[in-house]
Amino acid sequence: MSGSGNLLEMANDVVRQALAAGASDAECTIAEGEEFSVNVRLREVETLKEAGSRGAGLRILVGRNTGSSYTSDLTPEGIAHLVRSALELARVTTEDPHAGMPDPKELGAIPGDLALYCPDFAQLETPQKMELARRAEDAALSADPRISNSEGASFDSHLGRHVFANSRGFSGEYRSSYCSLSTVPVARQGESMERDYWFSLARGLAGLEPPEQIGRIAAARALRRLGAVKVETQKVPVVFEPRTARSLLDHIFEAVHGVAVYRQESFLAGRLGEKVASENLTVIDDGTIPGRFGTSPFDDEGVPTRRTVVIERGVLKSYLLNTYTARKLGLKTTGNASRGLAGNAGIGHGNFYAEQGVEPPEGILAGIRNGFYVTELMGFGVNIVTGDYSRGAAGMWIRDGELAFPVSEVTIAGNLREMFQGLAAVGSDLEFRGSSAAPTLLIAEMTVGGR
Amino acid sequence: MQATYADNLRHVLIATSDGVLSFDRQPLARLSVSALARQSGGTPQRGHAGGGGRVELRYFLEEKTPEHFATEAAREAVVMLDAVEAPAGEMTVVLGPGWPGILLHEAVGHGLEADFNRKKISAFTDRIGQKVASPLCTVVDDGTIAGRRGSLNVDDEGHPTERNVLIENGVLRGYLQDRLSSRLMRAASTGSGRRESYAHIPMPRMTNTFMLAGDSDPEEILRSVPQGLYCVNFGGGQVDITNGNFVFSASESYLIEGGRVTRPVRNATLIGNGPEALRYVSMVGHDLKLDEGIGICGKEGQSVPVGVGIPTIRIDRMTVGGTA
Repeated sequence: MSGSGNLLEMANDVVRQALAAGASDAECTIAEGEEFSVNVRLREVETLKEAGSRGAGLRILVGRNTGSSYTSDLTPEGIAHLVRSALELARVTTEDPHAGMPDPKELGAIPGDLALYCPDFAQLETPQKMELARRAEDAALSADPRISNSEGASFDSHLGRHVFANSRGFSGEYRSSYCSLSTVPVARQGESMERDYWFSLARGLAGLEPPEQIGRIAAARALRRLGAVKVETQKVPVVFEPRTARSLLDHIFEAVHGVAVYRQESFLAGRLGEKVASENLTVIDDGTIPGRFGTSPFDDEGVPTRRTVVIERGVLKSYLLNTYTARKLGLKTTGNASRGLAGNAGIGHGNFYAEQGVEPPEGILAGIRNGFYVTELMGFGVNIVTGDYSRGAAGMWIRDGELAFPVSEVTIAGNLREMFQGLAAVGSDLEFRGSSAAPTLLIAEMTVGGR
Repeated sequence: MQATYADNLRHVLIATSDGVLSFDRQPLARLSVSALARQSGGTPQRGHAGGGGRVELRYFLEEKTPEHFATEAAREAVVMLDAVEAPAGEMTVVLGPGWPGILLHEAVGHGLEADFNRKKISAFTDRIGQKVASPLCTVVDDGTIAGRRGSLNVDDEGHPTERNVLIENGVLRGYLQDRLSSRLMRAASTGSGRRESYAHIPMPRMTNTFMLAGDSDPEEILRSVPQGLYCVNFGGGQVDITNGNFVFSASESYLIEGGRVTRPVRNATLIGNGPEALRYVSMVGHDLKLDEGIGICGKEGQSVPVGVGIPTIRIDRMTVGGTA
C-alpha cells in the first residue's frame, strides 16, 4: 500500500480541483484495499484469489445541485476526468433544497486508537493460510462418519485504507483489517443430505476461534439437521438463536433507516416516542466500540460516529440518519452516513445490537412446551412498509423445554410490529460476529406453515 | 413514486489458451418503478414494476414505455390496499405466466448447475434420467433468445450460449456446465460459464430459464381449483442446494374460492423442495410468457442478469407461509 500522506493529499487535491472548476462544495473518498481468499475442499485447494483495488469517489455541489462520479484511474488525467464528470452531472440534476454537506461544526473524528487495524495475518505465507482452512475442514470431516462431503473451508482476509476530505475543512483517514475462517460440511444419512456452516471473524488472526472448534461446531450443526421433517401448520412460540435473531435486528435497522422513514416506507416511520416493542427490547447503534466490526472514527460525510439509543425499553428513541435524510426530516445527522465510491452517501449502521437480557438460552427453552427453534431463514419475504413477515425456516422443534427433532421446509409468518411487541424473552448470550448482533430472542407467537 | 433507469454497455474480449478469441458487445438496460399507495389512516402498500433487457433506449419509447411500468406499479400497490391475511399450510397453488417462472430458477435451475453436482452436494446429484417432475413439465435454459436480459452471444469463457433442456417431459436431462466442471465431469460445455466481471471467477450459471407451454386454457386452470392461491407476481427467491428446499415470495396473489379469483392476500413466502415440487404440476397453460426483464441472480457473491418464464400452471400441493 502507498503511504498515507499520498492518498490524504490526493483527496484534498481532488477537492481543491473541484472547487477551482466551479463546485461550491466538494467531498472526496479514496478507498484502497488488498484482499486474499483461499478455499480448500476435500483437503485440496479449490480456489485461490488475491486482489488489490484503489478508487476515488467525488461528490460536488453547485448551489443545491449535486453531481457525483468515481474512478479507479488515479493519474492526473483520471482525476481531471473525475472532476469534469461530476460537474457535468451537477448541471443536469434537479435542484434539491435539502442537498448539502454537514455543517462545519458537525465534522470531526473520535480520538484514540479504535483497534481496527491488526494485520498480523499479513505475515503468514499462503501455505499457512491454506493450512488454517484445511484444519477447519478436517475437523468437520473427521467429526462423524455421516459428514461425508464438504463445500470446503475458506480463509479470507482484507486490509483497507479509507480516506475522506471535504471543502468544509475535514480531512481524515483510517486503516482497518479483518480475517475470517469458515467451513461448510455436508452431512448425509440415507436420503437426507444437509449442510450447515460456522465461521469466525476478527480484526486479526489472534482473535479467531481455533480452526478445530470452527470445524466441530459446523459439523454438529449439519448433523443435527439430518432427517428433518415438516410439521403441521400451527401457531406457536418461536425462538430465534443468535444467528437468526440477528436478522430481526437487521429489519429494525431497515425500518429506522432515514430514507425509508422520510419516504414513509417503514412501519416505524412517524413513531418516535411511541412504544414499538416489548419492554425487553433495547436497541443500540454504537460506532465507537474499539475493535468491533461496525466501528469507525468518522462516518462517510466526516461526522464523528457515536452511540445512539434507537429503542429504549420498547420505546422508539431515534432513527439513523445522514445529513440529507436529517434535513428532510428536520432532525440532526446521527453520524450514520455510509457510502461506497459511487453516488451519494447512503446510511449504514455502526455496531447495531439488542442489549442482552439475563436469561440464558436454556432457561428460555425450558419454559416452552411446544415451539420452534429457528436456526436458518430463507428468502426475502419481509415487507418493511407494512411489517408483514413470512420467511422459509429450518431448525429444531421444541418439546417440553428441549430441542426434540429437526424441522425443515416450513415457513414462519407474522407482522414485525406484533412480533416485537410480543418479544417475550431476551437471552444473555449476546456475541458480535459482525456489525449487527442479537442474543437469543423469543417471540410469543408466530404461524408456522407446514403440512 | 420512485423511478430508476440504468443502462450499461459492456465490451468483452475473451482470449483462452485453447485458441478461443471472442469479442462481444453487451448492452443492458432496465427501468424500474416503485409506487406507494395509502388509504386514509391505513397501512401503506408498495407496488413494483420494471423491465428491459439487452435493448437500446428506443425499447422504452416504443415497446415498454415508462407509463406502462408506472401504471403497473401503481395498480399493484392499490390492489394490495385491500389485501387480507394470506393462508398458511399446504394447498393448491396456481402460478400466473411470466415472472412466477422464478419457481423454476430456484426449484431446479440452481440445483442443476454443474459445480454443485461434480461436488455431489446438490439434491439433484446423480439423478440424470430420473423422473423429477410431472410429465407435463419441460424446462429449458436458453441464452440465445434475442434481446432478453439473460441472453448472451457467448458465455464468459468464449463458448457460444445454447438452448439447454434441463427437464424433458418430467425427466432430468442435463446440467449447466462451465469449462472447469465440464472437464472434470467429462461432459460438453453448455455455454453456461458466467462471471460478474473480469475481477470474478467464472462458474456455471443460468441465462433465461423457463417452462414450455402446455395445452390447458389458463381460465380453465383457475376454474379447476375449489380452494387455493393464485400468484401473479413475486419478489425474490432462494434455494438450499443441498436439501433442495427453496422459497419465493409472492408480492401479488389472490385467493381462489370455488374456481374464482376472489380477494388479494398479503405477501407470503411459498416453500417447496426442488426434486419434489414439480411432481405436483397437474395442468400447464398454453400461455407461456417470459418476464419483463428485471431479474438478478446472486451466487457466491456474484450477480448476473437473468430471465425467467412460465405459462400458467397448477401445482396441487405447495406450502404457503401466511398467517391465516
